[in-house]
Amino acid sequence: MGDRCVVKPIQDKELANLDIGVVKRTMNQPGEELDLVNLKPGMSNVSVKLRILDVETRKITVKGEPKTIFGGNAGDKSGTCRFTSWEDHNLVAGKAYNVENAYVKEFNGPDLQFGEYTKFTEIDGEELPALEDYADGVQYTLAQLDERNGASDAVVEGHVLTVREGSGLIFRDKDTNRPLRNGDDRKNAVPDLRIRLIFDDGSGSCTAYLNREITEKVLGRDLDSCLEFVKENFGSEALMEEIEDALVLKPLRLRGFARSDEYGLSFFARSCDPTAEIDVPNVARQFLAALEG
Amino acid sequence: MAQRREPGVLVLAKELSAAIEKHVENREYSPTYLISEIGAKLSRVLIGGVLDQIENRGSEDDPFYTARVIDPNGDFYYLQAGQYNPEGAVALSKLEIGVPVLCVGKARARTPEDSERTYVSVQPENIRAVSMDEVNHWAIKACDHLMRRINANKAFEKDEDALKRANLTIREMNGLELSKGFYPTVAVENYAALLYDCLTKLAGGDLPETKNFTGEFEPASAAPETEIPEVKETVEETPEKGDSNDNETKVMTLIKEMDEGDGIYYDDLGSAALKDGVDGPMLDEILDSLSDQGLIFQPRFNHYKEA
Repeated sequence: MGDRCVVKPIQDKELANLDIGVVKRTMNQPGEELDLVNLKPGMSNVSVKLRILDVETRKITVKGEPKTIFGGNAGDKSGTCRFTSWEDHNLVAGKAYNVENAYVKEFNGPDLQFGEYTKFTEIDGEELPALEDYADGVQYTLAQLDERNGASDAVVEGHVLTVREGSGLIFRDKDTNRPLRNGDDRKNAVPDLRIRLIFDDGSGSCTAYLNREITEKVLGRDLDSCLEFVKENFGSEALMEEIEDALVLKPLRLRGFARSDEYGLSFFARSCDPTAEIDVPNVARQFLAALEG
Repeated sequence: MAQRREPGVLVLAKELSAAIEKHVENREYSPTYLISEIGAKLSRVLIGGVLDQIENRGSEDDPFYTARVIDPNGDFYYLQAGQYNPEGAVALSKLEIGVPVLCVGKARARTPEDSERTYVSVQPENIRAVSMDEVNHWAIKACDHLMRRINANKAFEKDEDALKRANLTIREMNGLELSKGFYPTVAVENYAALLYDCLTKLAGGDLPETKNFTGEFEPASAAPETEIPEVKETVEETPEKGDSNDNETKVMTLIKEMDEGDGIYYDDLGSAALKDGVDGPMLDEILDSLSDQGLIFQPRFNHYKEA
């Protein structure tokens, strides 16, 4: 746009709802106080009240010079979020702060950035949940995760719709750790277990990955027993059937981190449980009471 | 934005079967969505209930399965799987009547040339037998999603704050706007009643149940709400012998009276029979019995005609 160009703000409903891909609805009023759960990559001049949950230092090299940065997770009553501090603001895990002039970048979902101009005021944080309240994780819908491009620590509940190929016994390259496909060079192959699922909660869907530990729990067999089982059955179909039998159309609760990219939303589970047995009549009664009230 | 897989929307049978308007988006690879009266945008659906009927209307080599599933509220889903959906057909063929199931599949609407009515069916991608607890757990979630849609629908263009609080996804908002265009006059109360009924049943149906079965049936205008909880209760029971003959006659009369040539549609028969005091499971039994006696037959799937 040149110097003779005239720019006027307009109100246009269609434009406001326009889906422009990676950066979705990142408009925020400068200095606006936001909930952590509503942070979107691309926001700037963000003010939040938060509690630092954990901090660790990382040594990196910036333009050839070594630099120490600080990273970890922060929480407020709405949820949690990763943060990266590019300066030493002397942050202490467990303490609560009023943060002004932070901005949001993206790494597995929104990553709150504290720079040189970010201002910290220590607060008593009585209205914020205590450190131990974050132990059970924060629940999201898959649509929320997709919109915020992931999360570093999320809990989701839904149903398994399909078990994808590449589940069960797989072989990884020793050096790169990549799963090998049929026809790849098997010289450096090491066996591993994992499950790839289509996981869905009605608001969205994702590809969920269950690691070896969870897979062993689901199957009730360890890696050696799986290798034996596959040998006995002349192939991995029988193992696949066991996985499908255990998981397809079952309700699960997953906890882990999520990432959203051009391949869709991926969820890497660190724990996986059958959805807690709920007392349906009781929940239904509470629901009804809420409707009438 | 990259293409996303369609989420499997949890929807009760009553809402699904009224979702007769189709919508195709102006983009590559858009599925044909069905838009429900209160704004669910449906392509893939996750449904649950008890498998009630299953029939192979094709042959051994070229199977075409039709099946019916009763949701926890007592309404019907219709399932179809033929040669273009072998996985679904195989999964269906493994099931036995009477088992609780969960099913994921694509919703399809079809209007036969000689008919005014649009039939919504589900083409299963996967279906399996589960426990009743899992169906009830699904139903609670389905009710939760239903309530979200009802609240958003009520707030639309009336209460901006409430709509904002509902925190709809782009997809949900789009479905809601489309539904307002397709169905300008919808009684949202019907869906609020559906929600209430279904939750009452899931809660055990204590309250309305006691008023029921005093021997006399209330006039048809009396709230059907009090009558429906009985539906599920009697699924496994045989109705008393005394009025079963009586009811057979009633149903037979209805079939004769309402037939306009090619048989009477099951749902129409069901609502008419309810007014005569014959509920869903009782009707099914009567229809089976009449078919066995050779008094009626099905000229088309789910249409009944006097033999």
